[in-house]
Amino acid sequence: MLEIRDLSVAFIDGHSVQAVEHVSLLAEDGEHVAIVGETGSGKSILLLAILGLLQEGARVTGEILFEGQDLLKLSKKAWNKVRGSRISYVPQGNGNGLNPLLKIGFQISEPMMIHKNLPRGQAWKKGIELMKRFYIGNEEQAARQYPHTFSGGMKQRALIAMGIAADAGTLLADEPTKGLDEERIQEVVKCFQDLDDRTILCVTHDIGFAREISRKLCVMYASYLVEYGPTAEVLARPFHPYTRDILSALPENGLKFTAGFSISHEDYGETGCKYARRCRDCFEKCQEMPPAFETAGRKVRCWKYAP
Amino acid sequence: MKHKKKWNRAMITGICIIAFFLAVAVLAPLIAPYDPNEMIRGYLPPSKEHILGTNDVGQDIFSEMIYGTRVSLYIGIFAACIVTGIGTVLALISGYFGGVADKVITAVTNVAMAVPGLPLTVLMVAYLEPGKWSLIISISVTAWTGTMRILRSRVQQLSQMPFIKSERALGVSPAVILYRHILPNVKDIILTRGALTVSSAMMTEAGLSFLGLGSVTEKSWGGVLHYAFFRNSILKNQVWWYLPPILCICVAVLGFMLAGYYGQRKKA
Repeated sequence: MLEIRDLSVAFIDGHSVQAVEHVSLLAEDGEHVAIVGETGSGKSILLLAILGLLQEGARVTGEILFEGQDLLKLSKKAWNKVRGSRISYVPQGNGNGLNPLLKIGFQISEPMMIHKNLPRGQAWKKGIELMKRFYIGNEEQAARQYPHTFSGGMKQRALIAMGIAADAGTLLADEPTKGLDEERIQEVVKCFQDLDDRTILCVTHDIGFAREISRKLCVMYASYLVEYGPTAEVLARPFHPYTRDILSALPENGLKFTAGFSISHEDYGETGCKYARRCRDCFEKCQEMPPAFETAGRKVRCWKYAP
Repeated sequence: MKHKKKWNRAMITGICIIAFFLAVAVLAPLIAPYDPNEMIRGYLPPSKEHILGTNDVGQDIFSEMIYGTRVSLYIGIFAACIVTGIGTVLALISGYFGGVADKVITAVTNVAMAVPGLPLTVLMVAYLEPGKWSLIISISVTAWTGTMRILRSRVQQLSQMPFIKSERALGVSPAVILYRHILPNVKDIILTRGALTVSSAMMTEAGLSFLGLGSVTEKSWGGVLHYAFFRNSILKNQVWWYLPPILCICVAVLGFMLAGYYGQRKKA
């Protein structure tokens, strides 16, 4: 179980920038949670904060409870033991997520060698099994190849294999569908659906992908979690104006752009609701930042839902 | 396509030259017609028995050159190993970990860069016990800064690459990341810088030996040149005495430069 309570991340580098503010969410064992939001909304930073891999100068406050233990209180060494073996990370397949100079098979088996002390040969065999599980195809040969021979979709599946290699129960995925076309996305979806025994926290831009893999959906906007609830319900009936606006802009909903102009730096500095300037439903109360209101099993940061 | 360019002609030439001198150094006792310390008759001009004649104390110059290859290469290669080793370790630490370690190492590097290298080397050679290793240490003492700077920036770049981030996220320890993931990515720089350092170390060694600061017990090319010069071989027009060491130094240095410089070019 992964529970995040009131997590804030600020970068103090000359002037301070709030990247994540007062985010709380809960992923129960075996639950898949998707986090959607535009670039700069703080969703990737949120993942890195859970992994303890933020750059220097980042100030993290709040609690990250992982199986009852606050990760933020761990020493560097202890955290290193948690990473990979209990919480793992799946980066974007299209970028340089794999070391270009090492064989795929070795990279997949490396976490097993480190966290489970398996000898190289045994780890290699298990790596091939993992590759089979994720439908890479022609595994024996593929394991001996270098990443540049793999397509984006294959790389992404190899990365998922690498992520669960050391049997981590919790996976954090950072935009696993970026740069992939629809068919490859379906393959990634299948991989994620197969992992129903693991807790997954997945950051994505792709709402369609989020719909297929997740049970709960978090919508982030300008460092705040604006809406949080069961995926199907949120997508069927969005509460927060931002969620509503992005959903109405989807092709299947008619590509209606109902929001105002795009995110600007001024949005970050205001004391009021971050979305106020683009929101059609904005009213006086919105000059203040709304807390997260609980309504109908969801958390919504909007004054419209104040009890 | 890429593989074709990997081995360009200049680099092959360089490697051939290096291989030639290495072979000479290893096989010295087999090739050399005389013991280079054996004294026969002084100032003999080139003849069938002594291809390059003999020097002032009657030692065969050709054999001196062959045995000199050993010393020159030994000093050049070991100095380069030390220089590259220090540079690489410091660069990995400062580039990957950053923070205080980086600041300290960068400060030390800047200081070492500001110290005039050659006078310090001369000073150290003069004060240390004479021998090959004191030469090697004196040559290495400030020479690592260039390698360290170049590698550090590359390591810094690599540390920000997604695959390093994902390794960290998978709980791989920094030592393993540095050794298995970052080091292979900078090995081209290490090798080419290493080859270039060999050539510069050989030059320094030749210079020191020429000044009479080299190893007294063993003959190197610079040492041969030193005696040739101080016995007025240039004035006496004894080309066979002063020219061979100069040529050997030039060709060997050229070999390492070609290997290093063109090795670097392919990825630049």
